Amino acid sequence: MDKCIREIRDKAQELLETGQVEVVIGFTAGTLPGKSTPCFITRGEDCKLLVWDEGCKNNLANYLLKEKRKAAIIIKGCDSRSLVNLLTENQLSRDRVVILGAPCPLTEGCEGCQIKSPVIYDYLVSGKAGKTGEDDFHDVKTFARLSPQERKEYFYKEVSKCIRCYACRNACPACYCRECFVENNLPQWVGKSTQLADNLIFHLTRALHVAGRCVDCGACQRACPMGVDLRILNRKMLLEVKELYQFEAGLKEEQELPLNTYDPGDPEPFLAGGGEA
Amino acid sequence: MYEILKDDFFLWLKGQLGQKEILAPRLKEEGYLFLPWDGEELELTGYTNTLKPVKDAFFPQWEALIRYRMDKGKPVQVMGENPATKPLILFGVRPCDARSILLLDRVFNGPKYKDQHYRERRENTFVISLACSEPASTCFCQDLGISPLAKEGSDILLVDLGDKFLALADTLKGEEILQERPFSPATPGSMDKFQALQGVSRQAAAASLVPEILSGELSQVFVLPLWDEIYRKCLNCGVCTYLCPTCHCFDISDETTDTEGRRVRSWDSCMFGNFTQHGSGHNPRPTGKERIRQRVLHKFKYFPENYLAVACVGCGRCVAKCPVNFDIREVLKRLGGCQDDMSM
Repeated sequence: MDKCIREIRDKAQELLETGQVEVVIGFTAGTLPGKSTPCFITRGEDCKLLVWDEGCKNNLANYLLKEKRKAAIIIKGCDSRSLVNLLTENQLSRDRVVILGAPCPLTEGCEGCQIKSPVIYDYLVSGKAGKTGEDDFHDVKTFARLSPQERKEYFYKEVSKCIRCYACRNACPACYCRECFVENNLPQWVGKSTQLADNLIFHLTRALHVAGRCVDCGACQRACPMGVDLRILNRKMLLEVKELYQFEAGLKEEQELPLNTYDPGDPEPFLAGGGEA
Repeated sequence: MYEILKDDFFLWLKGQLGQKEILAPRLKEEGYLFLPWDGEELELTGYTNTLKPVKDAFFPQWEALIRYRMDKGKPVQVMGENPATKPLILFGVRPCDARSILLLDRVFNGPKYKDQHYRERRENTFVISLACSEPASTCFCQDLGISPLAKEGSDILLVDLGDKFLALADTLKGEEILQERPFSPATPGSMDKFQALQGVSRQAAAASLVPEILSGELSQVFVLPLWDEIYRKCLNCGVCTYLCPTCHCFDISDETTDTEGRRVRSWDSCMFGNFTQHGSGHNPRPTGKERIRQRVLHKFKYFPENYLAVACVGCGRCVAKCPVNFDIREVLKRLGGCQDDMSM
C-alpha cells in the first residue's frame, strides 16, 4: 500500500497545483484507532496528509452531491459503483469530477464484495486489490429458508434498536432525496416515535427506495450507532432486481436503470399501454 | 463517607425491587443499555458507559403528551398522558452522565420553565452512580474539569474498592439511605484509598479544553474561518445529538386518524436540515456549516451564557459513534488555537 498512497498523494497534488481541480476528497488519519476520516484538501502541500488504509471505510461518493467546486475524489470499488449510479441518475456531471481510483484498502474485504477495484476512473492507482468471489447470495437464500415468523422476528429485533438518527440514510449515496418522506410533515407519512411500526415503515421504505440502486457498500450498516443490521434486506432486493431484470447497480455507465425506465408497451396493466399491447 | 460490601449492596438493591423499578446497565448485542433489572447477577466487567445516555429516563426519545378524540357533533375530548409514576432507581450511572442530569434540570426544571413530565420522572428517580476507574479512549470528562469520581448529580456515588464500595451522597435523600444499614461509616483505610484515587484524577484534570475565545464576543466567534472548513465531512445525521446526554432539543407533532390522535414529543436534532426550516421555505441554517456551528456554540457558548455551565460532560459518545469521526475535542483545540491535522 506504500506505493499506492504515494501515487495517490502525487496525483492529488498535481491535480491541485495545475488547477485541474479545486479540492481533493479523500481520507486523512482519524482520531480513533482504526478510523480514518474523510477530508477535503485544497492545497497541494497538504496532500501528504492523505492516507489509504484499513480505516478508509466511508463511501466518499456521497460528498460529491454537495460539492460545488471542481473536485477530485479518491475511490475504491464500491464508491465507484455508487458514482456510476449517481451519474446514470443524472445527479452529477462527469466533467466536474476527476476520479482517482484505487484498489480497496481493506484486507479483510466485505463478504459478498465483487468489485474491489473501481469500475470507473480517470486515473487508476496501481496496486493489487484483494480477491473477490462470485456472489452466490447464499446468505439471502439461507435466510429465505427460515419460517415467516423467524424472519419477522429478526427484522423486528433489528429495527427496534433504531433511534432514528438517520445515519444510515445520510451515509448512503443512493439516499439523496431533497426531502425524505420521514421529514415530510404535510402530510406526515410516518410517526416520529421509535415504536416498532414507525421504525419499520422507515426501514422498509428505505430498502424499497434503494432497490436497484443500492450497491451493497455497507455504508448504512457501518454508520449505525446501534448496530442495526438490515443488510440481508438490501441484499434480498439486490437479488430480486438481478433475477427480474438481469441488472446489478453501478457496474456500467451506459446501462439503463430497470426501475427508472418507462415504456408505453410495458405489459403491466397500470401503465399507459394498459397491458394490451 | 460510607462503605458497603459489594455483596451486601446488591442484596440491598435487590430488596428495593418490590417498591421500585430498577434500571441498570445490561449488555445487549449493540452494547450496554439502561434496561430493567430483575435481580440477577449484573455483568459489569467491560462496562465503561451505556450506548444511550441517561437522559432517556427523564426525557425519553418520544412520549405522548396528550391524546384526543373528535367525534362529529361533540366537543373535542382531550386526555392528558400521565408519565409512569412508579419510583425508579437508576443504577450504574457514570459521573459524566450524572452531571448531565443537573444540566437538564436547568432546562426542564429551572426557575423559568417547569416541564411537568420531566419533573415527575426526575422527582421519582433515585440515582446511584458508579465512579469510573478505567475511562475509555474517547472519554474526556477530565478535560472539562469533571472528575471521574464526582458525586454531583448522583443521590449516591459508589466507588469501587475491590470487595466493597465506598459510598458518598450528594443529596439529602442519598444521605438518609447511607446513614442506615447495610451501609456503614467508611473506615480510615477506605478513605485513604479514595483520597489516593482522587489525587490521581485531580492531577489529570489540570487543563481545560474549553478555549478562552468562547467567552469573547459572539460576533467574532460566529465568523471564524474554521466553520467553513470543519463541517464538510459531517453527514448531518443525528448520532451525536441523540447520543449526547445533554442535548435536549425536541419536536412536537400530531398523529391523527379521522377521529382520534395523539400529540407526540420526540427528540430533534440541530444537525437535521429541517430543524430550522420555516413554513415559508426559508432556512436560516441552510447548510452543514451553520448546523455544526450551532451545535458547538450551543454547548460551549450559549448554554454557559444561559445556565452558567458548559453543556458537554465529556462522555465521548459523539466521538466514539460518529460515522465520519467528527471529533469535538479537535474542534475545541482548533478554537483554542491548536493547529492539527484536522485543518481540512
